[in-house]
Amino acid sequence: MTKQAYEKPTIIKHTGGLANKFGRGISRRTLSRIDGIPVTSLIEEHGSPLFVFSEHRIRQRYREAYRAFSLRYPKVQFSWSYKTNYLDAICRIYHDEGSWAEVVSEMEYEMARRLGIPGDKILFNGPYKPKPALARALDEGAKVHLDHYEELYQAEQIAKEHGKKYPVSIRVNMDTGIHPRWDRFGFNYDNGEALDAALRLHTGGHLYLDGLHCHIGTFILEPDAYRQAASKLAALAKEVRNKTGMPISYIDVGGGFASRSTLHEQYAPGTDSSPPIDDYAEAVTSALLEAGFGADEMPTLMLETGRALIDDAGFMLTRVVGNKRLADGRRAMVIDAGVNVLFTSFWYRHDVLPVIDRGGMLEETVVYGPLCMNIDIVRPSVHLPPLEVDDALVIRPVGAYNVTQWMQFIRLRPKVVLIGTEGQVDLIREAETVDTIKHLEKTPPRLSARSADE
Amino acid sequence: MYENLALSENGFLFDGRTGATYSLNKSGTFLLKQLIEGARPEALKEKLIESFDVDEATAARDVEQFLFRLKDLRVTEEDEA
Repeated sequence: MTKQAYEKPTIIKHTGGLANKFGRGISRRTLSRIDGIPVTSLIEEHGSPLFVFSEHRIRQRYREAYRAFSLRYPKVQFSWSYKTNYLDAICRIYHDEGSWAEVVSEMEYEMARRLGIPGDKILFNGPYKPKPALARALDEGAKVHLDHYEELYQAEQIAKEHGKKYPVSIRVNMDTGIHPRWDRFGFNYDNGEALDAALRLHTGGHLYLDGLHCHIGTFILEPDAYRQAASKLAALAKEVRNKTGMPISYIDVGGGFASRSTLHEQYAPGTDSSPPIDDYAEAVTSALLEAGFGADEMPTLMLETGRALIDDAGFMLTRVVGNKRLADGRRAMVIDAGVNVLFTSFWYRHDVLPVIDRGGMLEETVVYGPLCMNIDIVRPSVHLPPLEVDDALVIRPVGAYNVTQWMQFIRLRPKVVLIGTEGQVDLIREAETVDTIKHLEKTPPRLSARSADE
Repeated sequence: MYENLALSENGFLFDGRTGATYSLNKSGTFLLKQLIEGARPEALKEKLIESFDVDEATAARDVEQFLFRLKDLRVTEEDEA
């Protein structure tokens, strides 16, 4: 007698949850290859967990975004947001595509300089720029975006000490009709503070206004907020021009475009609810074109898009290390990648896709990471088929923020590989070892003299 | 103990005592059907091995967990006297 194919016996109680007419239907999905490379071969060669980036997707998304803006506006410059992902290999791809660097600390500034980016192609943001870093950036011609009056005074002081007159920009916050309203970065537009700062800067005699910048929020799903931001910055630029006679050379609308990730509180998947890049481009460029700048005074449009460009180029490969049944009857699974390396699990409902599906019933599953911490939940609920220990899974999109916000906590951080446009697989960051963590520590001799077993 | 359970061939279970409904996969349906037809729990491992392509250790582990799950869901709960 031929025996039937085996699948672990399962019984699932039906529960009458609220229907969700917006959500994605439950479907069986797998992902066995990334850019043509089998996931299992990547894990065999490099271990698990493993971060994988696709150069093809990085370049494709960048070109789509550049095209969306440059078709609508004559002068466009993207700057790669280092805090989103500052692995050298990743930054080099963006720079190769023509991106400048956007940095928010002296550490990131140095990273960009080490990659050969000249100062005048670095935008220096952030609310804290130590005086030596500020002086270096001003001297090297970086686009310094002043965040508050103390920084403005400090830049003025440096200019006096150096006997130079430096171009600087100011950061501007404003009401763009969205909530939460970010008013912590820069000078406020609506109460006139930004105009005061711009005029104050001119009257000091040591600085002149080169550009206007804003950073209105993050994961903004409403393109019209950018229309309002661009419109207000254009109005401010014209007012400064009228009062000082000096045109500004650029307007920078910052970052914050939503990627195709899905936030925990969103009903619809991000692939459906995040606006296409063209909608953001249309909003921003139409506001600038309608502002009435003279043909010879059209400011360059600067963009610091990070997440929307890189997120879906990043994948986390992981394996099942255990299956469980929780006390309330739910199925649970432990995998070898946790929130220590998937920080964005706190915000996103990542796709969790098995590499193979052997059939069997899909069941709502809690996906836990390997940390001995209650917070280590990669997905609170996802429908998965039966999976055995060592079965591989792909978690996506994870390209933005995870390899900068990852924590050295309980477990070591894994390797990162890049799949090139020709299908070549290159290691771009080695896995950590205990020495990576411990080489900075020093033990006082009085504590190191005796070992624990004496 | 099982007289209130209506189990279809394709794994739909109705518990007339509680009104609850369940879905079972093929091997789960097979095991519960054996119980309804009078098999003793200790015999389930061998029956599973006879009909499915599974090794003894896996069958023993999975039957144990499945029986616990039936009890946990109160599908196999004894009526209170």
